[in-house]
Amino acid sequence: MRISTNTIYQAGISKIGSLQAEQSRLQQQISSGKRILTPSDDPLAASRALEVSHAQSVNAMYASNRSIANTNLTGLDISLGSITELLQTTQVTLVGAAGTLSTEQKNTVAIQLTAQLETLIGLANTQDSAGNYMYAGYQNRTKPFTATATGATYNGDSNQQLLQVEGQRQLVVNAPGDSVFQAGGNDVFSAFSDIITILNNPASTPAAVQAGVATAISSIKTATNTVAAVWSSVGTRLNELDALNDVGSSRDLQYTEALSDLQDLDYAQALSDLTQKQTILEAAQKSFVTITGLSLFDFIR
Amino acid sequence: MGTSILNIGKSALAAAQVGISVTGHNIANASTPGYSRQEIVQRAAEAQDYGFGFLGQGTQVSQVKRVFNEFTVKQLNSAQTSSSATNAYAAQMRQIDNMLADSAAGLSPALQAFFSSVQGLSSNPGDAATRQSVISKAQSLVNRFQSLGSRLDELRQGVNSELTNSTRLVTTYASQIAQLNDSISKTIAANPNSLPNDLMDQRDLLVSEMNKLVKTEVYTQDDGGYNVFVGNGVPLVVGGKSYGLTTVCSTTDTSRLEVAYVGNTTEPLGDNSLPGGVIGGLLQFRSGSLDSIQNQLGQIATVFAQTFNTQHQLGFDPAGVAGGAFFNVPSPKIYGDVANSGGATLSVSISSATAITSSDYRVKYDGTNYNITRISDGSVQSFASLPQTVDGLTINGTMSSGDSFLVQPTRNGATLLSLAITDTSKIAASDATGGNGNNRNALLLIALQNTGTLNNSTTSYESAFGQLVSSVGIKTNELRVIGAAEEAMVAQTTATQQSESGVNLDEEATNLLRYQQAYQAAGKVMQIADTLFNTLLALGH
Repeated sequence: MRISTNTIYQAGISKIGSLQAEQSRLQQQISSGKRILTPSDDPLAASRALEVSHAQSVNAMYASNRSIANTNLTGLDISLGSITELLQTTQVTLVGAAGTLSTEQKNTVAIQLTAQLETLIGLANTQDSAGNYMYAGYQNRTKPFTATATGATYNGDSNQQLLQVEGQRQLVVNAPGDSVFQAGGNDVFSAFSDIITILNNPASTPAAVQAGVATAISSIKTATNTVAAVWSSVGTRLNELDALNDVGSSRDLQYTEALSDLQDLDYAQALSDLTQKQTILEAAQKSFVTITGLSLFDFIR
Repeated sequence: MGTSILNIGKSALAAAQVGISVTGHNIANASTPGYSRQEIVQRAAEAQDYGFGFLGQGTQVSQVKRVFNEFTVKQLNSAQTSSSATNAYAAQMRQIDNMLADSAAGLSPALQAFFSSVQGLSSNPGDAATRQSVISKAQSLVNRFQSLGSRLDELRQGVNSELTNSTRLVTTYASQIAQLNDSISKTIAANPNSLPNDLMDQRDLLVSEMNKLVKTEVYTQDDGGYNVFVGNGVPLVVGGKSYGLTTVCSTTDTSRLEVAYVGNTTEPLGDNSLPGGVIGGLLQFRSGSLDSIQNQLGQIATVFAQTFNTQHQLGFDPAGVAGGAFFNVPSPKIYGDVANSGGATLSVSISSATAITSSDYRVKYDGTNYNITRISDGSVQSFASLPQTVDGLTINGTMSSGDSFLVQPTRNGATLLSLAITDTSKIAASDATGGNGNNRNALLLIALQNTGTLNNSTTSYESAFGQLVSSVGIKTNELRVIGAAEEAMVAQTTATQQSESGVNLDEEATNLLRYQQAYQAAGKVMQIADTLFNTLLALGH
């Protein structure tokens, strides 16, 4: 079969061209580390990779929510610890005042209790790092407790703030003050103020004082139990966060592996392909030059 | 006798000279596009009867002919036109493929960042910085939708201008072919034996160039002229007369250029009547891929904005006021046919975003019924009156018999999406209870991200986008594979055609030697005739 001279050049050039294109593609893959350069390289893997990286970033989002929840709950944990300690001190103070007291002794106890009440109101008005009140429900920009003659009034609401900490799990990250300090009609602030009023009243009979102290002890005990219940539930939630974090990081690892399987380049294979293509290209170039260098005209003298 | 020998020598000398000049012409045009090698047809001159027998009178060149195989060229053209169409289609799809390739520039990261900012809002709903972050992430998401949409718009405009250029070229080729027809027929009429080979090569080259733009068929007439038809039998050249192609605005969608035939009148040609070539490939790309890709992206934008708005409007802002629209959702695009009666109007609104499809719709009134066609699958619903609700769209209007409208519910969904809220205090993160820490509605807004919303609440935003990416990838990949096969076919047919008609320089070198030797031998014959004559003259001395 006769071959036209154009065909010889055309065929040589187009083969060399396609080898160079393959090399440049390999080069792009090697420099990016990715097997899939455009969705058309592997449409199914490309869209699967989108899904996986979406899932991964959603997972990361929950992780950041958990970290916020952790900060909030740790704040509550510390604050509830201080409150428990304070209430226990108050109980000790009150038990010490159970006998018959002199006017001076009554005054001392009253002063101690007044100071403890102020500390308690301060603790109940604790703010988190963002400046939000921890015991205010949704009204977290409003100071939840204001001291009054008969204890303290609550300015917050009873709403629990939820955070999405995992795909199917929303966690309560606050503790509305009414459920901590005024649960079940037992207002801890009134208990303080009631006994302080009795102690400060010079007309109070020893029997009235003793009765008042007994009521206060019982009320503070109940309050301590309520706070302890809230505290323990905060602890439980912190534990749950730890568990969710473990699951979250193991998921993150899985997603990273899945993405790598879908997208990443097999370097050993790619580098070996590159060498192979280079050998072929060199051979093609050499043979092209040899073939096109042959011409009958060279022999016509 | 002596003169006859001299004449024989002379004829051989002349034939060898013709041979050398034809060979030279071949060598000179070895790389000329469309050139077919030429060869001489040589035969013995008519012999003379001398009584003792016929004595030859030398040689003569009866014809210089080009080596041309009509059948192979037809085959080549047919392979070439499909390959050009696929290449044009693939070149456009590759741009979309590349646009989606960069995962950082796709829709997903922007969508993700937006929902992360809403998560941030849920953890601290009263915080001004958190609220600002929601607004700015929403703005970047809107920008991302717009940039993806406008990139597709650019491709659409690119198709329009490429169609205009290509049809202009086709028209030019047609008129050049008609002129060549004229010259060729005249030459052949003057002397049917001597063919204008180089003109014929030029004409065949023009046909093959035209064929790269649109599928071209050629029928040779008795006078040697070509009748040229493009697409499905549209006559562009008839003898010495040529017609043209041009582009006109579609009667139903004025943003869309259609290819039209310029004969005695200008008639738009349907997308399907122009297969093959760059024009065919572009038309296929537009109706087969671009429309649906742009609609799908618009559908994601529309449904996202609408569903987010709906949830946002159920919430309350810090001042206790019910939330408003968060995004401005672009309304469906409606085109009235240019032939519509004066009073014809149509309005279309999205009544249920989750029910809308990515298809376009045609609304046509036949005097009795309003026929609403979903163009993607051709399904028709007929109603005796308007308004009606079809696929989440409420359609209302006044039409006379024969009026028709084209509705594109989502075509501009991505491009024209915008933010309705810029004031951070208008973000409705809480429920009716209120309170600075109230994040009830924020939590519900976040939930939208992983909820089935599109296509009758079956598909999330993210997976709808994933489906779009994979369908673009699959189509581009398919075109790449088909394109490679067709290119191989073209290369193979070209090699076959070239093996007949192409110039081989070694062969021409051989011919040069052959004709050179023939020339030298003829000279020798003449020299001997001369010697013979001189012998005769010397006798007198």
